Amino acid sequence: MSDHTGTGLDAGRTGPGLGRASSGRWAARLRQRGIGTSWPAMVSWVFLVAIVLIALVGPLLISADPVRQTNAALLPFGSPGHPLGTDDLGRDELARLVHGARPLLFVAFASTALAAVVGTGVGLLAGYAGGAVEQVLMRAVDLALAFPSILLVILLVAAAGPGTTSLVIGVGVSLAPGLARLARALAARETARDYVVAARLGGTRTPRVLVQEILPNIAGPMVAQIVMTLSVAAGFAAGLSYLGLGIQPPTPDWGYMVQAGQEFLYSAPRLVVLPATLTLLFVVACNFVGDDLRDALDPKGSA
Amino acid sequence: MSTLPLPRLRRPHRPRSERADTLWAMFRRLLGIPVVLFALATLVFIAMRLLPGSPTASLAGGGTNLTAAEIARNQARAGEALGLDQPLLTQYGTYLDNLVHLRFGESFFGSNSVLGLLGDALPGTIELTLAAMTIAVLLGVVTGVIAALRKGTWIDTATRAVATVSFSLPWFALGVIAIVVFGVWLRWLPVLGRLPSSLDYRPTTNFVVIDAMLQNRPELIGPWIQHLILPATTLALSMAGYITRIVRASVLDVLGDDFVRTARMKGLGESAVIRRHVLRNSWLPIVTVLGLQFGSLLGGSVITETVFSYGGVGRLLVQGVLQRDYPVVQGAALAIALLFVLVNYAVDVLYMILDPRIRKG
Amino acid sequence: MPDQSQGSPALRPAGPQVSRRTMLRGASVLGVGVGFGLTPLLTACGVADGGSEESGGGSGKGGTLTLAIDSTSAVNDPAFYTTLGDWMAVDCICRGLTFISFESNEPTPDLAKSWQISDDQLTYTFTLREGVKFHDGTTLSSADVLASLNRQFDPENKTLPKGASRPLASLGNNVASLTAEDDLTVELVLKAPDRTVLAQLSDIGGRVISKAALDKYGSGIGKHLVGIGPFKFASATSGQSVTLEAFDDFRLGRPPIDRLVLRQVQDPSAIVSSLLSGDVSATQFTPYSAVEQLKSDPSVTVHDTKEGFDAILMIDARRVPELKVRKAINLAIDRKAIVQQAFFGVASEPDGYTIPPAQNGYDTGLADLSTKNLAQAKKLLKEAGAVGRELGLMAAGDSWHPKAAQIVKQNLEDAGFKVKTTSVDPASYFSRLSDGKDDYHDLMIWERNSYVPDPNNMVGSMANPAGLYGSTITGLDTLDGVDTLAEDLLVAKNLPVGKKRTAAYSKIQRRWAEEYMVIAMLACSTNLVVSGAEVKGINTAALGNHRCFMEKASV
Repeated sequence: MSDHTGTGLDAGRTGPGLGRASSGRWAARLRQRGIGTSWPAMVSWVFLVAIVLIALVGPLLISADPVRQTNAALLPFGSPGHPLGTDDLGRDELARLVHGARPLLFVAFASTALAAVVGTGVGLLAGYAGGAVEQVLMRAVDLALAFPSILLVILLVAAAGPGTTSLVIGVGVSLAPGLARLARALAARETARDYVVAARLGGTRTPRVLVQEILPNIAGPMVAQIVMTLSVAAGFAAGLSYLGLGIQPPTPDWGYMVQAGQEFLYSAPRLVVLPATLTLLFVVACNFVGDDLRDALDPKGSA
Repeated sequence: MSTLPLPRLRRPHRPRSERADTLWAMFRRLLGIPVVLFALATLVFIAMRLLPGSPTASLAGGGTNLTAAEIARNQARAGEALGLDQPLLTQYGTYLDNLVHLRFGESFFGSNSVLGLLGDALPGTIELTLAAMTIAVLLGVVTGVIAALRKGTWIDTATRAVATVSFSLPWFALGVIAIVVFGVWLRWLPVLGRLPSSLDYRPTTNFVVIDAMLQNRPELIGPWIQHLILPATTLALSMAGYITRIVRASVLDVLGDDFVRTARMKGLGESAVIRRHVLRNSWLPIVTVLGLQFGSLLGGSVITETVFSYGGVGRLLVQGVLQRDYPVVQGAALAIALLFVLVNYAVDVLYMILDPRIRKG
Repeated sequence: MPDQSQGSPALRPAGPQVSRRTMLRGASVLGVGVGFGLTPLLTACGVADGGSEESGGGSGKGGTLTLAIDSTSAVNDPAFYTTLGDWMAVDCICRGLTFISFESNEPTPDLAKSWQISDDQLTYTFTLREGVKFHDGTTLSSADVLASLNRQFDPENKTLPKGASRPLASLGNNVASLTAEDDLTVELVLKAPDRTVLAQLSDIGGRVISKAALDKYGSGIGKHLVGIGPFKFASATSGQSVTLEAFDDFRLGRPPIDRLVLRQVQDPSAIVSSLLSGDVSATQFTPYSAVEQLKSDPSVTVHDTKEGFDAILMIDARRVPELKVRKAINLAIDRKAIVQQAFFGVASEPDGYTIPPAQNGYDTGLADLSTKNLAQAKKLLKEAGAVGRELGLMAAGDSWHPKAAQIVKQNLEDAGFKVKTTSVDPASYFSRLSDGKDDYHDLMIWERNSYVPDPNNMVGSMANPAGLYGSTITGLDTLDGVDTLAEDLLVAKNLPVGKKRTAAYSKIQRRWAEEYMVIAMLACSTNLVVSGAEVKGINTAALGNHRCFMEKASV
């Protein structure tokens, strides 16, 4: 399991200059600095967009049925009608790879979104409110961090059955504490600044202060961290479906395909290599894109 | 929602009181540990009992040719013996009472004491995690520093790219591939367990290194290391890539700081600057990351333990959930959480010690 | 192998087997085993020589045999099933009154050197062997047998650990009395005749434990099991391994190997890799997908064991109430695809319905009960007005089960059903089977191994309306006329082994399938036994049925 987020590091390291930047300024900086400045980042952007497109429209373009079993099992590369061959149940490997992108992408994006909303929300509130509210919320975050994430997912799956919903909740909740810690640190700093104090003294209501004043000012580093979280979520999700906790066969899914293909590591290694490589490339691309966005949005954080 | 009370405005740096604040905060966090553990124990207790399926069903099913009625009787008898026929609240009360008295109960499947099971499983996991961490830190720090010092050159780009790829590796498939390559094709390394079965190892502490010393059996060490290499490296790779990135960022950050510039201006040699100032000050984020990564490693070891048949607490936990062995799950979850919390507490303390601002004060 | 000198009613195994095994045993006694055992040990693990000297016992044989097992809870107790691996350890540590080698299906004398059965088939008088030593040095007497069997028969027995499953409980319910006539004579009186008693006593539940050890350890016996078998217990670590050591005074001669290690290896690809790398000497938990790969590798031997277990699809008659629909399900299944794709050829299409080829009572005349006929299936489904019926299908998530589930799902959809599947972790699968309200309880894929190779073990337990399969799982007991099925089963069970008995079981099976169809056969298979090329003398027929007889094994 790689829980690469929530280092607390970023909170301590983000320079004071950034916080005062208004929403307009970071948008401007994005335009000014641009994204995709290095070639790995460019390639990653292209790959990521391509994968998302393939997951969205690919299944409509491919005529082969990813689920239909045939007697033509384990056909090699370049077989007529099956450019990537067939799997152990005679299903078209290309179709399975194209369809199999969906569950992973869905879990990665949805769980990141969940983690982002929960983590930012909790952190924001804790950092702003301080005192007892902060104590309670941050102890809850500690608890969530200490709860072994694999146990969380296994419990969820055991209770609600395997499937994408369990994975989204499990991964999302595991990743939220990291984001919450960052959001708390950032929000606490903003809360002490003059413009927030002024807004509060001027009678602006709490939700308004949070959403309109603080949120825009912590958005830069938060977004950068959230994109990094995406890659972690993708890796985590693939690992869990590899364990059979994700979407159920026969529906194709990269993680599970790696697991099922492992039986043929010696006789038909492509059944492992193809889905594993695609998963790897997807996670790598998420990382490079995350780096790139961080460079653009949070220059000090990436040094 | 009403307006929240205004926070006390954070005071400007006053070293002395900041230090006292920090100590007080550390103490409060220490007090918080039991609270977190208690909440966790409660959560796990409830979660396990909410799960469909019961331990008694699995227990009662072992016989052959039993009629359904006999199985039902068996099940009822098992439930009674294990105290599962009691109301949930009573069970919870008993559990808490036992917990307070540090009684962790017995496995439903054969009455092994949970402490005994943890004593068997934890050392393996700790060995594996520490070995992985060592490898990861060594790899990560060296490559990270090099990348930072050669910032902008192809060395930097290549290191970053390799690091990114390595921490994106599908760790779940890595072990399997390592086994095929190094265990089966090249036959360099063993692929199974902590020691060869031909070695007669009777654990005292279950930490092989310690036992080798206690039992005066140095011949245990060689095979033990051989068995550790593949699983530990597999586990370490993704972490190493991450550490590389953190180290690089952190070193670059420090390199830009005033005191480094001052040191350079004072005419200190580059290597002395790196050693005395940069590395020492870059430890901060690295240590923090290590603490959090420790938790991830514990989680990641579940797969590694399964693939390498390496008896550890991760597998104990998973097996416990699958068998609905409540006491085992409760005990293992608590042990993992305690390890994690303690390591992170230690990290916080280290942080305090290493933080130059606090030390200066 | 049993002594040749007793006057028991049991048939002896076929001649050639005995002579081969006798020769092997003789060879190892003469010390020929040295060459066998020591060389691979020294070359494979140079560090190990120190260790083996310590435990070698000086008899000049040696080596460690490592078996990969599914899992271990470090509890080895014949009254408490925990895992197959623990069960295999019990099989090595203890012996029972009778013994079935699985090379032959006949119960032969073991600790009982002979027995007499009264004419009314109710009283069994066992004469024990004299001077047989337990691992703790005590000598076998009727007290040991009574102590061991009573904890199977009596749920209130003080030496039972919490939750003990007592595998011989059902035999116990039929026992009127169990007494010792003298030190070496045990009398078992039944309430109703049961021809399977001798076979059941050969099962792991019937294994005899030292009474001295039982008195000493009580319900903790599972951590200190003391028996009479070829290996004695040395150590066990839950989740890791069970280590056994050769017992010098084993009745049939000291085993050639020094140590037998049962090691938990759960990942299927790890099993294959460790067989190839030599870290594991043998296992029956080999994934079927690896069969071709392993056959082509000279460093391992793939053993051809007879198909002894049933791969079955259980249909809950309460949720699929129409016989026509259940028959349509049976007719839709493509067994050829299951044999080829789920079992990779290590199986056969079931032509004896639920009795597999390895067992007495196997009758190929029942092949028509498990054939595919898609047109007929569609027709029946239409007649029942059930086209488009939704079915939930559950299968365990390991080994061949998930793949068979995918094949069955497609077969049923081709016939006009709608199927949703779920894969269940193996450890909780059983408890879901017992839950009739489970969403996926319509169809369940499962396997039945035979620890006792008697038709009663397959048909008797699965077709019995009062049994677990007949009631909780399939709801057979709710269907009309099943009482007579139970009566017929009782009659068949008590016929002597032979043509008449086979015919009786075939008749029952045909009626059970044609009138009720709650169990559709998918395939007959065997657990795939693979061993390192240097491993000799393991009883592969037994291992293919999860039974572990390693007294002749050498490495």
